[in-house]
Amino acid sequence: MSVADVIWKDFLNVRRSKGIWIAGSTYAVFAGLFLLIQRNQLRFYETGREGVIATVSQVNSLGSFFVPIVAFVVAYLAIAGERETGSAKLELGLPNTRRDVLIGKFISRSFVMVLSVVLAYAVVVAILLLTSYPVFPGPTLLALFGLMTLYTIAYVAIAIGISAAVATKARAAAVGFGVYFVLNVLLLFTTLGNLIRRLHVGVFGFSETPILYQFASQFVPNEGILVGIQSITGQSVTGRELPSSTAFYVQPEFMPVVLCVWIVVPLVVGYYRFRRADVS
Amino acid sequence: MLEIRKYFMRGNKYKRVTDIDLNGLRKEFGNGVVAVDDLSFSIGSGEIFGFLGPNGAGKSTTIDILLGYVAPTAGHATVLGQDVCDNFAPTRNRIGILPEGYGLYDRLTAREHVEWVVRTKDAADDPNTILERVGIADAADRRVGGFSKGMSQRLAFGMALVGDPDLLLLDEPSSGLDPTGIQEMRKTIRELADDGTTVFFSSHVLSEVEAVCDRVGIMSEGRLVALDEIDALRDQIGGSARLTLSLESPPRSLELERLRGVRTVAIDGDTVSVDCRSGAEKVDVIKHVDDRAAITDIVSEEPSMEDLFNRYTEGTHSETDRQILEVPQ
Repeated sequence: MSVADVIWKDFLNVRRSKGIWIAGSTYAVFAGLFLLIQRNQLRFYETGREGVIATVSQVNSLGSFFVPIVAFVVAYLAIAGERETGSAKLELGLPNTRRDVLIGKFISRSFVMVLSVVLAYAVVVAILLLTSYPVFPGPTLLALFGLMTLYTIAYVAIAIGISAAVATKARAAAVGFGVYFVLNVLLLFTTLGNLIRRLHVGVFGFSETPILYQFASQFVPNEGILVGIQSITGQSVTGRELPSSTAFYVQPEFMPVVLCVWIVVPLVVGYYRFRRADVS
Repeated sequence: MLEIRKYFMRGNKYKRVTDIDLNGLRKEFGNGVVAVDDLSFSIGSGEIFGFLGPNGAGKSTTIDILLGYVAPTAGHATVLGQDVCDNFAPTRNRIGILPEGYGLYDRLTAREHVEWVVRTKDAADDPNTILERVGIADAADRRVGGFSKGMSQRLAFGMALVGDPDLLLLDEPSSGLDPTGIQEMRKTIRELADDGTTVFFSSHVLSEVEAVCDRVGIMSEGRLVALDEIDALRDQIGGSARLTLSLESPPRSLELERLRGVRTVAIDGDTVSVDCRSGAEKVDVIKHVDDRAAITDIVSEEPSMEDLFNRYTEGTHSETDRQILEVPQ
C-alpha cells in the first residue's frame, strides 16, 4: 500500500532530524518544570485532589498554546519543503497518488507529535508518582491526555494542509505563522464570538444570538480545548458555566467533534489545492 | 509522424506499439508564459528517443507533463496507454524516472533510497544489485547529504532502474556525471533498450544524444522543430560532410567533380578537400583518389549535431534570448 510506504520513508527521514526531536521534547520539558514548580502551590487549594487536578489541567492549557508551535515546526515543511527541494518529484514519480502523499505525511508527522505528547504525559505521570503530589488522578489524566492528543493532531492537520496548499517553504512558514497568530494570539484578546457579534449586531443590525457567538468562540481550537478541559476536571477555566439545556454543539462534550472538524477540513482543503498543483 | 516501423519488433517484453503519445499538447503557466505549444509526437516501444533543445525550450515542461507533475492546459498525453491526467499513479509502476531538479533525502542512505523505491513499486530488486549497477555500492550505507552531484545522479539513475521499467524517462541524465559515469550510463541505457525498454532521454548536450539515440526530436520555444532519425537529419543538412585527403605529391588530374554527390573540390598543394552531399559519398571519393594517387592521410568531418541543432533552432530564436549551447567535448 502506497500510504504505508510514504509513512515508512517519511518517518525514517524525520526520526533522524535532531530539530524535530528537540522541538518534540520541549513540551515534556515545560510540563515537567511546571509540575515541579507547582508542587508548593498545592496548599492553596481546598483539597489535595483539587490541587492536583487543577495543576495537571494547567499542563493541558500550557500545551494548548505551546503544542501548535511545535506541530507547525514538525509538519509545515512536510510537503511544501519537498516541493522546494525537489524530493516531491521523486515521491510523485513513484506509484504514489497525491492523496497517498498527503495522508502518509499526515500520519507520520502526527505520530511524531503524539509521541511528543506521550513523552510529556510520561513526565507528568512520573512526577506525580515520584514526588510529593498527594493523589494520582488516573482517569482524569487519561481524559486530558486524549483531548490533548486530539488537539495536537488537529494542529498537525492544519500544518499539513498549509504545507500541501502552498509551493514554497517561505509561504508555508508565512501562512503557518499567520494562522497561529490569528487562532492563538489575536484571540487571546477577544473571542471569535465577540467579533461575530459586533458584525452581526453592530454592522448588520440583527438581534443578538448568544448561542451562535458561543459556538463560534468554542470553535476556535484553543478555546475548544479549554472548554473540553473544563468538562473533564469539573473546574472552570473559562469563567463560564453552561446550563445543560443549551444546544448540544456548545456543550463541552462536543469539543472532540470540533477538534475532529479541524483535522478533516484543513486536510481536505490542502488536498484540493495539492491535487491540481503543478509540481515543477 | 508515427515512427514504429523497425522498433515494432524490438521489444520482447510486451506487445506494445506506442509508449508515448502526445497530441496537441499545450502548457500555459499562470504568468502567461507558454512553455509548450501544440506539441504532437509519438514514441514507439523499444525506441531510444532523444529530446533536444536549448534550456528553456520546453523540454522539462513536456517531461513534467509526461510524469504527471504538471497538468496540460490543452491537449492529451498518453504514456503506456494511460492518460497522464487520469488515475496515472498505478502506471508509474512501469516507469523509471530521473527528473530534472529532483532532491534526495539528505538524512537517508543510498540503500534506503533504493529500498524505498523497491517497496513503493512492489519490486523484487535487491538494493545492492541496483547500487552495484550504478557504481556506488561502496557508498550504500552513507547518508546522501554528503554525496557529490555525480554520486547523487548515479543514485537517482539507480532508483529509476528499480522494477525493470518498460519506460525510462530521463531528464538531462548526464548532468553532474564525469565522463566515465556518462559512458557507464550510456552502456546501461543501451542494454536496457536491447531488452525492450523504451528510453526517453532529454538533453542539451548534443554529443550524448548522438551517441545513444535512435531518433531525435528537437524543441525550440515550445514547439517541435524537427523529428527524425539522426542520420536522416544529418542528410537533410548536406554539404558539410567534408573529406580532407593528404597525398604523397600534388595530384595532376583527379576529375573528382564528375563523381555523384561531390559539391566542391579544393586542391592546395598536396592536400585535397572535398565537400560531399552526405557521408555516403565519401567512400567513393576515397576509392577514386586512391586509384590515381597515393593517400597518406584521411580526415573526415561529419556535420556535427551542433550544426544540425543550430540550424533547427536558430530560425526561431530572437537575438536577445539566444541560449548558449554546451559544446560537445
